[in-house]
Amino acid sequence: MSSAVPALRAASTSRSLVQSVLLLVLCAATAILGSLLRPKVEIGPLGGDRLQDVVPVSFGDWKVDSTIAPVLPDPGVLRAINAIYSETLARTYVNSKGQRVMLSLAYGRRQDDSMRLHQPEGCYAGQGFAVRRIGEGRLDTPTGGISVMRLFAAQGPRQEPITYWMVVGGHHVISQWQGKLAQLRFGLRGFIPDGLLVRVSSISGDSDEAFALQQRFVKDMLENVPSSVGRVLTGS
Amino acid sequence: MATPSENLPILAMPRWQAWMPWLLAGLGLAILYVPTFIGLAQTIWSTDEQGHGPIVLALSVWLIYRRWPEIYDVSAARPRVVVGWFVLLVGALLYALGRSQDILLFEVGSAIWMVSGIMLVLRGTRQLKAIWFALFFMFFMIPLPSAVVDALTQPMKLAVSYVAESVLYKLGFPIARSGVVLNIGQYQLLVADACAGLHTLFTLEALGLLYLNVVRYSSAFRNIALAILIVPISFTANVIRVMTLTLVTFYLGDEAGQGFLHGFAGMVLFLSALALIVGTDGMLRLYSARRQRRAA
Repeated sequence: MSSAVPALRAASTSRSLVQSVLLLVLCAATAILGSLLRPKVEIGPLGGDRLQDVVPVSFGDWKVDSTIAPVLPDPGVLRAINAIYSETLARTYVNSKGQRVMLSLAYGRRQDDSMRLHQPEGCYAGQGFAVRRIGEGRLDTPTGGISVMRLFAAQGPRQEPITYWMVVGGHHVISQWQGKLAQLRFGLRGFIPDGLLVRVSSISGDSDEAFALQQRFVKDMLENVPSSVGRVLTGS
Repeated sequence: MATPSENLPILAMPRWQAWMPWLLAGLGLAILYVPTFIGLAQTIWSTDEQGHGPIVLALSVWLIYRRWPEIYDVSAARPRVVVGWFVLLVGALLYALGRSQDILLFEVGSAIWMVSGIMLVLRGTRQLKAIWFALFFMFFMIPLPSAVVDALTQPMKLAVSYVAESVLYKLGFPIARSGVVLNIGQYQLLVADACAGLHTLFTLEALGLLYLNVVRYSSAFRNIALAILIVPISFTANVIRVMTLTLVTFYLGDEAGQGFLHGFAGMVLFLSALALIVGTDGMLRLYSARRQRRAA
């Protein structure tokens, strides 16, 4: 018996040794696979265009309202915005009837974990608004229509119905989950997609009326930009 | 002196053969996770929210080290090679996917699979069971996906603001709330993400579970009750912190609320959480003692 035990131990130790060499090989191979699968090529339909050149300052019945000095967010918020996005654009448009619509575009060149689109739910709630999700809706566009997300934000007397959607790597998405899936689809093929958030809002207590106004604004905007720009703004 | 039969294995196999497998496995883990941990240290582990990550990592290593004599004993080895390699392959796939696609949940989570697989392949089920708590504890090291954090933070912030406002209003303070903005007197306070206490909750839960594991209460009732009660305790501690800050601002002004006393409120948070945990633990002890007396 006493001689069988050490033999057994020696056998199991050498088996452990073989196993551990295989383990090391597995780990090294996994590390290499992990770095090979890492996406490296940035793709983005916006290319080198700047946001301010993409959307005209006046179109149809709408023009940029220059009487309203844009209110800058406080420094903390501004820092957060600059960390998240490569470029942002905020404009207020006004039509001949004096109705105002705020357009906000936020563009991130790389949609990976460090930089990704933040949904307006978070932005508004983070600045003290009470945000209610109205739900998904359809928006008519010259190319057939897109799905959008609708919110109702309120802070004191300020009531602001919001329509928004996102474009990740040229794909139209309306939820973070869809965006993550689109990012993963690109990522596994070696591409880093870009991301664009399009947010349209107006100050009004009547959300139905506001959403109709926003619909009209988006439709006018898309009808007055080249179809290539329209595709960039709405995705496919 | 050892008996001859115990001396023989040392003669039959050199010492290096005994620890060589662990060295190689450890090297494999280092190849995978040293880059991961360096990346984490430079990004989210240096933030307040996920600052507990490295502590949890160190504690997990310590928890495994505590069971080392039990694991190291080669005569108790009953390797489960097939199951072990299956677990290892799952871990490797998760790692490759997570590492390349920036999914920290997979990249860091794969460590639990890899360590389990190594234990099964080199030793067996018994040794895997010996380190179950360390493996479970490693869950707290995994950074939560931002989608989950975002989804949980908003409702918790609202709830903390709501309770803080209600309590202070009942106490007669001139306070009003709109969403996560509190107005008290002439001051306006925004309840920030950190105040929601999501990460405090995870840190406290991790430390609470560690405390329970190390102290080893025999009563399962007390263990489970305390582990569950840490959730409302963490919430209450955060409400106390927000109320403290609100009152500091009300009496001493904005500067005080945002300056030194803001950091002080963080200490209030942990002290009140600690007091609540110790207090709850004491009440549970009284309750279970009374239950036992009644049963006797």
